[in-house]
Amino acid sequence: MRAIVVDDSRATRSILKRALAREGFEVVEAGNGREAIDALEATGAVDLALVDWNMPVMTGYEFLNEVRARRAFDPMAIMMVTTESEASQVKRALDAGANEYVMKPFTDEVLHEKLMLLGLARA
Amino acid sequence: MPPDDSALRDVTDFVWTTFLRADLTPSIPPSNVEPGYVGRVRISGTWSGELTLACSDTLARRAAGTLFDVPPDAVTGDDVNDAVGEIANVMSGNVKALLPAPSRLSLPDVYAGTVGATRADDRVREVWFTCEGEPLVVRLAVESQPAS
Repeated sequence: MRAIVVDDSRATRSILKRALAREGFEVVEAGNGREAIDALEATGAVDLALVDWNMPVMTGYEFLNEVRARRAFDPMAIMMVTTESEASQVKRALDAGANEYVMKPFTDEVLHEKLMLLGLARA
Repeated sequence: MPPDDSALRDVTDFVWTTFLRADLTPSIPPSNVEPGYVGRVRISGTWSGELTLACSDTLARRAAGTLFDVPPDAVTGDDVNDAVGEIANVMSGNVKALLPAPSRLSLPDVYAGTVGATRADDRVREVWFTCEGEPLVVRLAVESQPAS
C-alpha cells in the first residue's frame, strides 16, 4: 500500500511516516497541498492521504476539494490529521470528502484504529 | 473566558505526554534567565490572543530528537525550529478547543529567545514546568474576548 503525508511540519511528517511504515505503507511526503497534488500527478493515486489543515501555499481543505474534484483520485482515502477541532471544521472536511479526522496529538493506537475503520490497517 | 491556569497546565501536560512521551513537573519561574527557543501561534476570532511556548535550548533539542527519532546531538537548527513550531501549533489547537468558536490559528513562528520570568500582567496566563530538569513555560496572552 502507498500513502502520502501532507504536512508543513517535517517533525509531524517524520512521526506519521514511521507510524505508517510500521503498518506496511510505502510513504511519500509533501509540505503543502500543492506539493501533494504535484506528487500525485507524477506518481498516480495512493491508497491513503494523511493531510494537515493549516499549511502555506495550499491548505489541507483546499487540497481535499481539489482531489475530490478529480475522478482519478476517487479511490484514495483521505484522513485529516490536524490541530483544528471545531465541530464546524470537522463537518466541513467530512462534507468535502474526508473519510476520517484525527486531532493532534495522536497516538499510534488512534492512528491504527482509524486505519482499521478504513480497512487499511495491518492485522 | 480563556482557560484558567489549571486547564493550561492540563493541555501542556497532555500534549507533551502524548506527542513527546515526556513527563512534565509543575514548577515556579526560575531565578535565572537562559537562552532558548520560543514558538508562537496567534489565535484570531471570537477570542483573540497568542500562545507562546518557551523552553531551554537543551529541552528544545531533546524534543526535536524525539520527534525526528534521532539523538539530540544529531538534530539541526532547522529540526529544532520545526519541532518547537509544531509543538506550539499542537498546543494552540488544543487550547483553541477550550475557547469560544469560531477562531483561526496562524502558522507558527519560532525564534531564539530566553526562558525566564516576566513581569506580572493580568492579560497573560503563564504556567511553568520542568522536564528532566530543563525549564519550559507556556504563556497565553489575551488580546480580545467576548464580554462575560
